[in-house]
This record gives sequence, structure tokens and C-alpha cells, in this order.
Amino acid sequence: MNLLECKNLTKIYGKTCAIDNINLEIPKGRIIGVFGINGAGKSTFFKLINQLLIPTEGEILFKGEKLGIKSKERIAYLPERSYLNNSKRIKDVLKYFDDFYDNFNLKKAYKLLDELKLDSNMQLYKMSKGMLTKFNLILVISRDADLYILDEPLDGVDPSTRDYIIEKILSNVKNKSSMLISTHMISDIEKILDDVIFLDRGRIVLSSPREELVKKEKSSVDEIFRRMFRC
Amino acid sequence: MLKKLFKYDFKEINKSLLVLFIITIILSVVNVLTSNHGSNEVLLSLFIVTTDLALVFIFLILVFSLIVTFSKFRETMYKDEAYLTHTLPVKTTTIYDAKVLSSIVSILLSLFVAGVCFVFVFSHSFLIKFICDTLKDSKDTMETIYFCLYAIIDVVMFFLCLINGLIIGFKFDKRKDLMVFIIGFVTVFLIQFISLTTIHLFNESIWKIMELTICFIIDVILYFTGRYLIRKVNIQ
Repeated sequence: MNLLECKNLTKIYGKTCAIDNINLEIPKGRIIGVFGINGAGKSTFFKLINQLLIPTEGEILFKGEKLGIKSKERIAYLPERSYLNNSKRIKDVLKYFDDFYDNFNLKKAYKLLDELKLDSNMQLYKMSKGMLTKFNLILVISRDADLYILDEPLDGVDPSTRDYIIEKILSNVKNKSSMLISTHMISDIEKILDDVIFLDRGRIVLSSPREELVKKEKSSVDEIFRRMFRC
Repeated sequence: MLKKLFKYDFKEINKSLLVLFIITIILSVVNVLTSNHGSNEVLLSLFIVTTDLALVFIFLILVFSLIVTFSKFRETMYKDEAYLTHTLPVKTTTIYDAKVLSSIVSILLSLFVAGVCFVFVFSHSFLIKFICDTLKDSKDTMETIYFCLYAIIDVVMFFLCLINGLIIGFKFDKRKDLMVFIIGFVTVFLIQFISLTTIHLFNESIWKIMELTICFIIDVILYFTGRYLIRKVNIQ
């Protein structure tokens, strides 16, 4: 059974069609890169999966069932923007996650904090953008979820930490669960991807296993993207 | 989950109000301690300053309790923090219940603190005598209880009107904040108008009980209207 299925998924904001009749199946154990220029509908697509938006048409099934509390428990989502209360300390946020998510591994979160040299007593408003991104990522990958959705997880992160994040994504996801990842730093992550999806104006314009695509086009995903969306 | 959510929301709201509570209580206590100033000019000055400041802070508690509860609701249900709120493995209606209940309890706590401080500040003068006289007379006691209950139900109604305005306002794609403002205040005035016009239909002896009952029913209706409308949210 597929982990996630989108059937005729459409989302219209006023007169703008943000997601246009998307049909997609996501099996278990895949890392999928979702790429597109700004406004292509990537974040809207992720928000629909996380029940932050109601589809105008179509439906999303998670493990064959309609989205609900069960899917919220099993999907770990890292939004593009910071969604935490800035007045809180790191340890308060960890306690909050531990209280609400049964699959949150507090020990793992503290271990990752140590590895990324983040002080648990630090207040969020004192953290830089890069530090916040790292912390948000820790919150997501410390959950034992079936589907991880990362919207711009490398934004504002230095190159050495990027490598660390990619390594953590790999160790966390392979075989156990799937991951949807969206970023503009395609070259940084393309090697870990199993599948690639290109979105344009709310439509899937390309969907392919990465290896096949690279072999066929004889260029990297980053180059293909640049070619396809050249202004 | 409701209990956990309530605990976090209540803490978060009152963390913002705690400073106001502490300052007002300190001002009230200093005011009481300096009330027997005799001919000491320093104590007299302190007494006058603390009386004025305490009254200002009591007013601030009442205003800020509404502003803080409303803005926390808005921030956690519709702004950036909504990304976390609505991805918690909890029903949206449970989140709504916890937020509204914690807000109402916080508003009641603010009313209580403000009321106690008010009595403190005026404990040295006519107020204590007035309260004692009132309590001796059962009719006046009922009037006081009625006034307190009415104040509580009315403040809760005002908050629920704003929340409903917020929920309906955010269902619109454009000019959300303006819609929140318009709908919130139109609801307040409409409900005040309904309660003021319908209470005259009843016998004068049961007039007050009916007024309280109508206001309470309106509170309940507003609560469940918000609960119904919030089931499907669009965080745009």
C-alpha cells in the first residue's frame, strides 16, 4: 500500500490555482525532491498534506485512509517559516513536543542538540536564522514518523552543517519511512534523492526516479532544473 | 489532551499578565500600608501616588487580559504558530475548547485580581463600610451578586464575539483583519441590542434573572458557533 496518495488534488485561492489537479503516489522508503520556482505550489502542496489547508477539489489518502489525527501523528512537518513561540527556551519546546507526540524521542533530540552545539537553555529569539533552522530540523527528525516533509530545510544553514543535515536525513529515513523535501539548493541534496518531482504553476511537469532522469538527460538534476525553468 | 493544551495555554497567557498582577498587588499593599499616614508627608505622598497608580494598573489588567487572550488566540490559531497548533495530533475542536476555556479562566482570574486590588486600595475609606452595609441587607447583596455575575458574563460575551469575528474574518481571503474588526464589533452590538430589547418582554420581578439567562445562553451559542466554524481552517 502507498504511504500517501493524492487524487485530483486542486487548491484555488481566489482566482489563483495554486495546485492544479495533482495525482501522485508516494510509496514507503523513498526520498523525494519536490522542486519548482517560487510560487510553483510546493508549500501549498505540503500544507494540504498537513491539513493546514482544505483542498478545493480532490483528496489525500494517508495509508489508505483520509487525513485525520492519525496522519498528524505519523507525519512530521518542517514548515518554511519558524512556527515556534520565540519567547520560549529550547528545553521548553522539547518538553512541549515530548508531551504532545508519542513518537518524539527526547533523548535523541538532546543528543542532536549536543552534536549541533545548541544550548538547551537558549531562548529562541536569541538564535540566528541558521540555528533556528537546525533546531526546527532536530524537532522533526527526532520523531519516529512515517512521512517527513521538509520545506526549505537548508535555508540559512552553513555548508558544513548542510552535510551533517543530509547525513541525518539519510540515516533517519532510509527503508523505515519516506521524505518529501523541497529546497532551492538542489545540487546539495540531489545525490540522496530517489525520485524527483518538478512543479510549475501547481502542476507536476516532471516526475521520475532520479537515476533514470540523470541517465536519460546526461546531466544533474540541478542542471535539468535550470534548463527547464530558465527565465 | 484537553488538559495538556489547557495547561500550556493558561501558562502562556498568564505569563504575559503576571508582571501586571505583581505590580498591581504591590501597589495595593503599599497603598494599604501607607493609608495610616497621619501627618507624615512622605507617607501621604506615597499613599496618593500608589492610589493613582493602582487604579491605572487595575484598569490595565482588565484591558490587557482581553487584548492578551485575543492576540494569543489569533497568533496560535491563524498566524505563524498555527503551523504547530494545527499539526498537533489533536482535533481542531479540542484545540478550540482548550484555548477558549483557558482564555475565559484567565479573564476571570484577571477580574478577580483587579477586584481584590480595588477593594485593597479603598479598604481604608468608605468601601469597607459600604460592603459591610450591603452584606447586611439581603436585597443589596443580591444586587451585588447580580452585578458581579453580569460583569463576568458580559466580559466573556465580549471575548467570544471577538473570537467569532476572528474565525469568520479569517474565512475571507482578503482584508482578514478588517473583517475580524467589523464582524467582532457588529456581533457585540447586535447581541447587546437583542438582549436589551428582549428583556423588556419579561415581568419586572424576573427581569434580572432573565437578563442573566439570556446573556448566558448567548455566551453558550457564541461558544458553539465558534466551535462549529473553526473545524475547517485555512492557514494561508
